This record gives sequence, C-alpha cells and structure tokens, in this order.
Amino acid sequence: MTTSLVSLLEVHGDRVVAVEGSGGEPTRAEFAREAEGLHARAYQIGASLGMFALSCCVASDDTGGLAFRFANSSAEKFDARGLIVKGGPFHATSLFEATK
Amino acid sequence: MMRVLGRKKWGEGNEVASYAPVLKALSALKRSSRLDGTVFIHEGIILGTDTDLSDKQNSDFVREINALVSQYRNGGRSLSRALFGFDAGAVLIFHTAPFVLCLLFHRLEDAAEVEKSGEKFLQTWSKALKIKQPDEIVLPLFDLQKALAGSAAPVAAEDSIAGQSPEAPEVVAVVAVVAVVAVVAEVLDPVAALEESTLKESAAAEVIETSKTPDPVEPVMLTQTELPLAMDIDLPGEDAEAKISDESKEEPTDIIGGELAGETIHEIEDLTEVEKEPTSDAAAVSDAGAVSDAGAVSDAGAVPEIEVDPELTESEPVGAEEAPSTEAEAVALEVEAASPPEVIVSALYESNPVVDSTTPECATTESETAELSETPIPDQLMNLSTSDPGETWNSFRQKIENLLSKVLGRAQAVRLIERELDAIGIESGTYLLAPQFRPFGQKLMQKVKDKALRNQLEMELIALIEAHQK
Repeated sequence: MTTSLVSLLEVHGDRVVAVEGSGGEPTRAEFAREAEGLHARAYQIGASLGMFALSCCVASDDTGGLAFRFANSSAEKFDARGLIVKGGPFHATSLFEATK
Repeated sequence: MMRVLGRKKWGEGNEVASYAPVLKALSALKRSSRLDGTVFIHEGIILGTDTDLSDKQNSDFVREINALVSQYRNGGRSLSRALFGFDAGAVLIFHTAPFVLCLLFHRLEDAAEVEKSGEKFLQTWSKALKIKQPDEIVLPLFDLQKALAGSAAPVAAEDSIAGQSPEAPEVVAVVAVVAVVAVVAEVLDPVAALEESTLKESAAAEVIETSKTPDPVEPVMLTQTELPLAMDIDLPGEDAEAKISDESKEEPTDIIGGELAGETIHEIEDLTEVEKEPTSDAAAVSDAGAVSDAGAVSDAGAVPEIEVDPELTESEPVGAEEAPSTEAEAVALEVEAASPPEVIVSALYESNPVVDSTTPECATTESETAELSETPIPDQLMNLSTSDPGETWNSFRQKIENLLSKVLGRAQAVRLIERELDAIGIESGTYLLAPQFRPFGQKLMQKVKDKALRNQLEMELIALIEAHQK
C-alpha cells in the first residue's frame, strides 16, 4: 500500500493550517472542501438519530481517507484537527486515532 | 427489536435463499459486541434493522446513509468505511457494494473493536453475500508516524481560507515547465523518457508498509448502555398554542371578571329591567336587595338600607350614547352619564364616612369601556369592600409610585399618576376602587417603553393588585 500524500492539518477559525506532512495550498483547500461536505452529511446522519453534537468524522474511500475531530477543550489550541491521506482505503479507526 | 423490512431473495438458477440467516447473525453480532443497533442495507433498501429507533428514524437514517454513499459515488470514488462520533453515540459504516452495514455503538473509544467485529462479520459472510474477498474486506491500518516519515517535509504554514481553493500559480508554472521538458525529451528519445519518468514516479512515491489486521476479533467490552433515543422535540407551536389556550381561558376571567363580575352585570341588567316596569319603590328596594344576594355587593348589609332615588330607575344605560373616540372622552361621557347615581353614592358614603368622593373610576381600555358603557355606573360603586377604599387606594397609589420609581424618578412617577388620573376624570382627593386598580396600573405600565422592563413591572403590579384586593 502506498501513500502519495499525507497531511496533518488544523483548523483555526476559518483557516486551515498545515501541521505536518505535505500541506500545500491545494491540499489544504481540498481538505477544507472535503471536510465541509463530510461535516454536513454527518450532521444530517446525527440528526436522524437524534444526536446533534458531532465530535469526529472519518471517511475512507478507494482513493484515500479523510478524518477530523473537533477540539475536546480549549487547552487544545485548535478548533479541529484533521488528516487527509491519499493512496487507498484505510481502517477508519486508525485514521481517527491519527488525529489525536 | 429485530425488524426484517425487506426479505430480498437471490439465487443462481433454482437455488434461492433469503437474507434471514444474515440478519440473524447480525442480531447475534449485536448481542456479542454489545452494540446499540445494526442496520443492514442492500442497494439503498433496508434489509433489516435492529435498533431502538422508530421506523421513521430508521428510514431517515438510511436515507442519509444512501446520500453519503451517493455523494462519494458521484465524486468518482467508492466509500469504503466511515465513522461518525457524536455526543451520545457513534456510527460505523461499512460499504461493500451493494451492501451497507451500519453499526451503532455507544462509546467512541470502542470504535476499533467494533470495526474489527464488523470486518470479521463481513469476512464470514463475504462468500454468501458475494461481496469482496475476505482479504479485501480487512483494510490496512494507517500509521501516521510511518506515513509522515516517508513524506515530504512540512510545508511552511501558510493559511488558507477554509472552503476555498485558490490558485497556486507557482506550482502550476513549475509543472508546466516540467511537462514541456518531458514532451521534448519524449520526442527526442521516447524510451529513455519513459524510463526516466518511471524512475521519477517510483522515487516520488512513498512506500508505506501497512500491516494487515492480524489481531483476532475480541469481544467489545462495552457497558450495557442503551443508545439514547432521538430527542422528542416538542413543537413550540403546540406548547404555545396550549399556553395561549390556557391563558385565553384564564385571562378574561382575570381581567374582566376582576373588575366587572359577570353575575353582577346580569343582575344589574335584571334590576334595571324590573325597575323600568311600573312597580312600587318597595319592589325596587327588594330588587336592590337581590343584588346583594348575588354576591356582587360585598357589604350586603348596607345595601337594603339605601334609599333608592326614583330617578335612578329611569336612567338609561350609558351604552345608548355614541361611542367615545378616546378613552378620556369615554371616561368623561360615562362620568356625565353617571350623574344620577350620586344619590346612591351619597347614601352609601353615609355609612362610610371616610369616603369623600363621588366620582366613579373609569375603565382604561376599550373593552372595559364597552363593558362599562353597558353597565350602570352606580353598581360599580356599590361594589365596595368592607375595608376603607380610600386607604386602600392611598396604599395602592404609594406602592405603584414605588413601582414606577424603579424606571422613573419619584417626581416623574407622581406626575405620571396624576396625569393619568386627570385624564380619566379622577380629581384630587378622590380615589379608584380596587377593581379598577388593575386597568389603571396596566395603563401606567404602557408608558414604560422597554418591553422586558414592562413585563417585569407588570408581574409586580399583578402581585400588588392581588394584595390590595384581598
């Protein structure tokens, strides 16, 4: 299994900041776009179950994966931390663990 | 609660089977892994649900899952796995076309074990369901440290606005130059260019060793906790309507009944009707006694002793006159129309020497004006309590001054009360009766512009009035 892109990013307000990995502008923009779409869908899923406070999202497809979680407390100096990976589907929980 | 919504069948030739064994195994998985629920979908159709959710919630959930799968499919990708953590639970989604397996569990920390259980389940049933090979179902674990070790150095943190995808002109320019060089090289020596590009790709590719999931499936050590049901959101409209209906049932009795009791009005009307008939004075007096029996007059003992002036019986209701344009005019008209009752008032005040006024109080709203216009004024004045009404009024006025002083200066509050009393024809040295405290107080409260303050003052006003009407 190969990965052509790995990027660990953080969201501060409306800005995406690269923390580790290849965090160029296209990567950050892609992360923001993908995360926004996934977040919207996750909210709808949670609403259908009666749960409205989303804490994390992970999605893995045949081309890569995306994961992000919201800050647990104000001690974490970010609003959300996420990960974008290219190169094949991954174990969902391992993607989530990588955001910690 | 196991629901088999769709009993799809498949088969090859004459061999036909149902999904019942799969759903049964799924139910066992739920028990063994202590899941909160399972949902099994085939091409967007629910095959079986085993959750504590209602049917509508299940269908809504499946609709959203289908939308998620479609969202990826429309983007040219195929969703493999998804995990959503919420405050009260988590959802893990396995997508192995054409099936979608959703596992609902309580603690996000147990996601790894639940995922292993789900993989194990799909591996077991992969052949029967004719999905991927068992090896393909188990996805590789992602190791961030290994991935980052082989990746490029971190890019200098240049922020980008979330949700936007600005152009990267520098990168585009470099790519364009490289592409031109590659094309030229390919024209000159295609074989060498192909080898060179292959080498570049292999060098650029970061090989990540990903371990398979060798760990055996372990039972999830979850506490037996029910998945919280969806919140029953009470429609605000229903509550509001219920409250409004309740209030509408209570408010009129509070407001109107407080000042002008319905029984009193009817009794008064009966009285006037009887008095219009050619009867003797004695009959009129006996009818006046009937008013006290009706409970409208609290000091009933004094009423029969009143010597009723015959002119009173001939007085017409105020409502026969033209409707006043303003409240002040209405008050003036009513005061004028109420001149005959002065005899009764004076007679009443003889038994109550503290009272030194004969001017009746007036309504402050149009509805109350209408009520008053239909009601002879003297009957309101007869509605006296045993306590001294003058002292009650002075006490109430002092309290309402204090109340208004919270938002106005003391002098302003006094002037406001005097001005309002003048507007309704209450002169200095006269007073309002207890039933008129509330409309008068509410009229004063209308002068307070701030709604929140006004509401608060009105609440205090009501308490004040109730204290004075006891």
